Order: sequence, then structure tokens, then C-alpha cells
Amino acid sequence: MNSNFHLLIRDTWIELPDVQAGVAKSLSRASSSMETVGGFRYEQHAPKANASWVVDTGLRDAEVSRWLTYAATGRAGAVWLYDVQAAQANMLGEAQTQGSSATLVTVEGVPMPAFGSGVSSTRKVRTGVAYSLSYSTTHTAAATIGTYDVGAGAVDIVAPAGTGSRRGSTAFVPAADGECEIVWTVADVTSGARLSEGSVSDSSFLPGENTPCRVVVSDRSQRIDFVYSDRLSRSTASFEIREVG
Amino acid sequence: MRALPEGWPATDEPDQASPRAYFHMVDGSWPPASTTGAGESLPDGWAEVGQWEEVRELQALLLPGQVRGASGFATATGSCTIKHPDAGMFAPWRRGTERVPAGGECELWLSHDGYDGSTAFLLGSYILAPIKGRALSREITLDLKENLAKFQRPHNLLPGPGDGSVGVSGWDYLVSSAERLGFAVEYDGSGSDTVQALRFPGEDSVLSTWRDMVSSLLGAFYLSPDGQTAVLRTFDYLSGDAAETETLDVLTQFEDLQWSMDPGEVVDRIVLTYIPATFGRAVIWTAADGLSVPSLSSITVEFDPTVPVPDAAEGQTTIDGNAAAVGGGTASSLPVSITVLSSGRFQMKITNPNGSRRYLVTPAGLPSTYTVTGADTSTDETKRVLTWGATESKSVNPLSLDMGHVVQSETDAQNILNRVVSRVSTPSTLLPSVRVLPHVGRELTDVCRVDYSSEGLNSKALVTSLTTRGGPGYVEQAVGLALLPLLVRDFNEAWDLVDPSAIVDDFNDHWNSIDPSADLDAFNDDPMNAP
Repeated sequence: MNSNFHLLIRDTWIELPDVQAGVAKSLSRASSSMETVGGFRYEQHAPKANASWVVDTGLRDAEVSRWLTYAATGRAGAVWLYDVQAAQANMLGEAQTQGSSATLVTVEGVPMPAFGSGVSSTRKVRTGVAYSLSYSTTHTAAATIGTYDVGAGAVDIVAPAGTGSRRGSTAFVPAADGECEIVWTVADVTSGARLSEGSVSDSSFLPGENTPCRVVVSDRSQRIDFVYSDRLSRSTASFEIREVG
Repeated sequence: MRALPEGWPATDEPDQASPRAYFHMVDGSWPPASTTGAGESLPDGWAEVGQWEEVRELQALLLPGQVRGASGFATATGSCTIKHPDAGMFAPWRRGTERVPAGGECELWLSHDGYDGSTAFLLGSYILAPIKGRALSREITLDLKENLAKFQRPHNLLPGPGDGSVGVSGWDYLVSSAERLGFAVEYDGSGSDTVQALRFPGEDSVLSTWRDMVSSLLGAFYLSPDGQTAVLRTFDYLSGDAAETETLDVLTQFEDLQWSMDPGEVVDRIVLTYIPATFGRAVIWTAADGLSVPSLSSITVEFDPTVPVPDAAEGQTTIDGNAAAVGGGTASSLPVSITVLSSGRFQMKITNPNGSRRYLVTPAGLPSTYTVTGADTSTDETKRVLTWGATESKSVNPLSLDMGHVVQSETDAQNILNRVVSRVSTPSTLLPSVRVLPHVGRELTDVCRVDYSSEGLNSKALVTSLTTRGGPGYVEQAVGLALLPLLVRDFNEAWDLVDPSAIVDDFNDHWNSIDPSADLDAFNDDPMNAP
């Protein structure tokens, strides 16, 4: 099954197989703007954007959308959504793909602030899925620039061969559902981090999409179409899923 | 104005990220530790804020819009919202960490890199006022107000300067009172009046005595945002004698320029009254009927001297005592010592070294008294009057100012009258709250310059109100400004004329040296446009 969405309910990943194509995903970032007497416009914006998805389950019975309905009741504890399309791009949050140092590292031609020492980021990962962590670094070849830990102990991240700013990558497959913690241990040498899913072997940089993220599922809106007496009736259902936290 | 830490975007940066706001209870374990959406772990005592607001307003006599106001005091209030924890609602009836506290000192912080990052900036320090919540709301609202707890105590203004000096400025009395209350003091030392001795009733609070003094001295007072410093501004400072903190260019920094000017504030007659001090002998305490001191012990009495007693005043060292309650018995002189707690609270300790009780009566049976030589004897409250402007029968818009005991000499009263005249003889302009590009370090009484040269406005202004609010994706600020009229001092500074008494000669020399053919019309058009 290649579905785009997985729900995490009480630390268990559940695939959502029957979400129809054409999911509308939108990002919204709080902002305000002011225009002065002289016509100069100034904008402010929040440091983080929030995503929301509108998913449709097509003309199906209630079994198809049962886990989304359950998550919407609010009794499922903390619910997380894993968006495969976003995970293939970059699972890290927008603030986790680069650091805040004054030193810049060129990531495929674009300078970005480097990570300081000890900066860490954590992402939930799924067992059996191939993940790839790529990064740009200027550090000496074969030197350790950080570690990642998927529950089996910290594994070194090593700078690739070559000199100057270059892209390196490392791959892993987690043995169990859990979290991947990435810690950059050397200051001012690494930036442009990308944690991505799948066998896509391209290691170039893509901006962070922040998945999986904690979400709230709205109660379904439903159009009842076919009612049977001997099996579950069919309706089209759509849910709105919003990123929270 | 306070400088922002490194890492804050410049005020005029056209595209900026807004900071995050945090609420912190000082010395508290509430709010409970939490993790913000951004993954930041906050310890006990910290919470991320949803929306916040801070309003600071200054009321100072003679500012536009407040000509007849005002106490010279600033008020600060605020509010913020924090969300309920996942585990359950915050409420006063809960137990454990969800129980809201009964009150306490708290702070609002803004930061771009976390609650303890290097860009964290203290917006203000408050105490909790009402906390409100609703069952259907994800957050509770905390109202905040300035921590004026120390100001509710009985005042501690000493009757005299306290350091042996004779006659210092009323501001120096306030500085010493502030320091003894535990505040650091910011004061530019420009008070030029002379107060020989002061007295306020003993039970008056710090707040009411300071208000009387600050408004009599035509100044202003506010507590710094961190609650630690008492900021005292003299009249000279409030009329613009201070370094300009910034230039506000209307075209690039104001959303709109609103102004108002009230012709009703032009005054055509000023009556200033004051009560000078006359120093001589004064009785400051009389024993109550039947008051006695047991043998071989002492009593301590606290009383209000009812008159100002300067430091140099001399009091008795003994007081009449008598073995018989109606006098006529063995008379003794009982040693007495005085401790000054404040200008309205004196403590007197009377000791009886004799073997039997002594009543505090004179040999003739009259109550014993304590007399001071050098105290203010003007108990009849006769006011002196200085006037300016039209006569009473002809004036349409008079202003009365009563300076009470705080102004004690005619020179000081005349100086104050001159300053008031400069303020109210022409109407001044108020820019009520206008939205400007925010700078969270701005403070009340900042002297800044408003520049709208294309419309002919280039004037010093005083910040009299600040409303700062923020929430997701925004920080907004509205500033209320009083345009300060030009004074001779400003003219002298613009033309670099150092000694005002030689102004005419200096000015002519200066004018001729610039350009003998310089045009008088150009000067009349804008006298401040010094080459």
C-alpha cells in the first residue's frame, strides 16, 4: 500500500489507505502589516507556519474513515500525522534545517547559518522505512560532525571526502517505531540538514516540511448516499486536519 | 529608552520575524513545566504567551491634554494569555499544578531565541491582578498591574535632608526616600528649588506623599519596567532638557499623524499659592492626661509633630515629670530621646530613673510638653499668593496651583510660576496614540524628535503614553506624544550661544560671521535653522 498519510495514535502508526487524491494542503503563517504615512510597508510574521489538510475518503463505508473519526472525538490522546509527500522532501522543521550561528556554510550555492555545537532535533520515525539524512559540511573529510540515534545508540555522522562545502549523507532503517535524535557536535561547520524518507536517493537540499506533526482532526462532514440493510452504508466523508502545537 | 539585545531586528527592518513572548512567575513553581510547540522545554515558573498587551500612561501637570490634571505619576497595566496544559484546565478550584496561584510577582519577556536565550528582553515586571478563564476557551487571561506594594506603607520622607546640609531641593528628599525603600534612583540632579523642612501627616502613604511632592515640583515619576528603579523627572527634563533618544520620521515610521490642540488650555491668569516656613520655637508634643512612666523603666510614644522640623532644630533633652498626677509633688527632669521615622512620625523615649512613678505634668499640674527651637511655626496655614496675567474680574480661563508646604520661598515660587507661564500661555499640541514602528525598549518620558519636514514639523516631543501589544505574528505599538514648545534654551543650543546673558552680542557676531548678507526673512521663517 502506498498511502500518503499515517496517523499515530498512542504511539502506534496506522496507515490511512483510502484517502482520495487531490488533498488540499495549505500553510498559514500569522502576520501583520503596517503602511506608513509615506507609503512604506512593513511586515511582521510569526516564526512558524501551520499546515492544514482537507482529506476526502470518497464514496466509501464508515470502516474506511474509522480512525480519522476516532481521532476527531478527542479521546485518542495526542494524534500525530505523517505526510509521506512531505517526508520525502524534508521531515525536519523549518528551524531545524539550519542553525543560528554567525558563520555561514554554503549549501549547494546558497549560504545558510551553521549549527552551533550541541544543537539537536528530534523526529518520530517508522520501523522498516528507509530514511536518509543529508547535510552540507565544510569540516575535514572523515571527521565526525554529529550523531544520530534511532534507539540503538548514537551513530556518528561523518563528513564526506573532499574539501570545501560539500553534501554528504547517511542512511538507516529503524528497527522499531520511535524517535530519531540528531545532534550536531561541531560548531560552525554544518548546515542544510535534510531528513527524508524512502529510497529516493537524491541528497540535495530541500526546505523543511515539519512532518510528522501533532494534529487535531475535525469531526467529519458527510454526505449520505447509499444506505443498505445488510452492510455498512456508504457516504462521502471529508475531514479537516490541522497542525497544532 | 532601553537598548535591545543583539539579535533583534532593526526597528525599520521591513520584513521581520516577530518575537515569542513568555510569562514568568518570579520565585514560583507555577505555571508547571511545559514544552512549547517549537519544541522548547520551559521549566516550572515559565509559560509561552498567546497574546499580550502593556499600557503605560503618564499624567504630568501642564502636558497638553492634562493642563489641569494630574499627579505626575505613571501607571502601567498589562495582560497576557497562556494556554491550559494538556492534562487539564487551570482553575482556582483545581489541586496540584493546575491550581492558579493567589497572586505574586511576575514578568513578561520577549525573545527570538528562547526564554533564556541571548535575545531575551524583559518587557515589564508586575504583580498578578485578576486571572480569568472560560470553560470553552483554550487559554486563561492574566491581568497584570504595576507592583506598588511598597507605596502603600506609611511614608518615609524625612523632615530634613538628613545629612546636615541646609535646604536642599525637594527632589533630594524624594531620592533619599526612594533609596531607603530599596529602589535604585534615576534622577538627573536638576532640581533648583530649596526646601528647608517637610512634613506630611504620619499615616499618609508613600504614594500620596510622593504624588503631592511630584506634582508640586511640576515633575513626573515612574517605576522602571523591571520594578527596581525609581525614575524621577524634573520640570526641566519634561520640557526637553535631555538627550534625544531617537528621531521619529513621520513618513517612514508613523501609520498616521493624529494631533489635537485645545484652545481651552490657554490660560490667561495663573494664581500660585504656597506656604513658606517660618522657623522659631514650636511645641511639637503635649502629654496626654494621666500619662506616666513607671519607676526605673521607660515608655515609648509615637507622635506626629504637626509642623516641619528641620535637621538643625534643637529639642529638649529632658521633660518635666512629677510624682503627683496633678503636680505639686516631687518634680524631676526625665531624660528623653527622639528617633525620627518620617516627617510625620517621631518616636520619643522617656526614661524614669527614679524609684517611684512619675506623671508627665509640670509642677503646676499642666501637661508636659516637648518644644523644639527651629521648627516651622506657621501653623496657621496662611498662604502667600503670586499671580500672573489678567485680573480676576477680567480673566476667562484661570488656573490655580496650590503648592502647599513643598514650595517654601518666594524665589522658588516665582521660578515655578515662570515655568508654568511658558507652558500655558500658548496652546500645545498633543499627538494622541499613533501607531508607529514598534521598539519595545521605548519608555515613558523619552524625549524624542518628530520629523515631518515636508509639512514643516520638526519638534522635540515627550512620550506620554505607550501601548504595546503582541500575538502570533505581530508586535504593535502606539505612542502618545506631547510636542514640546521651543524654549530659549533650545534656541541657544541650536545657535551655539553658550552664555545666555551675552546673547544679543553673541548673536549679532554669529549672524554677521555667517553671512553678512543673510536674510532676516529667512531667520523669521525658521529661527531654529542655524547654519
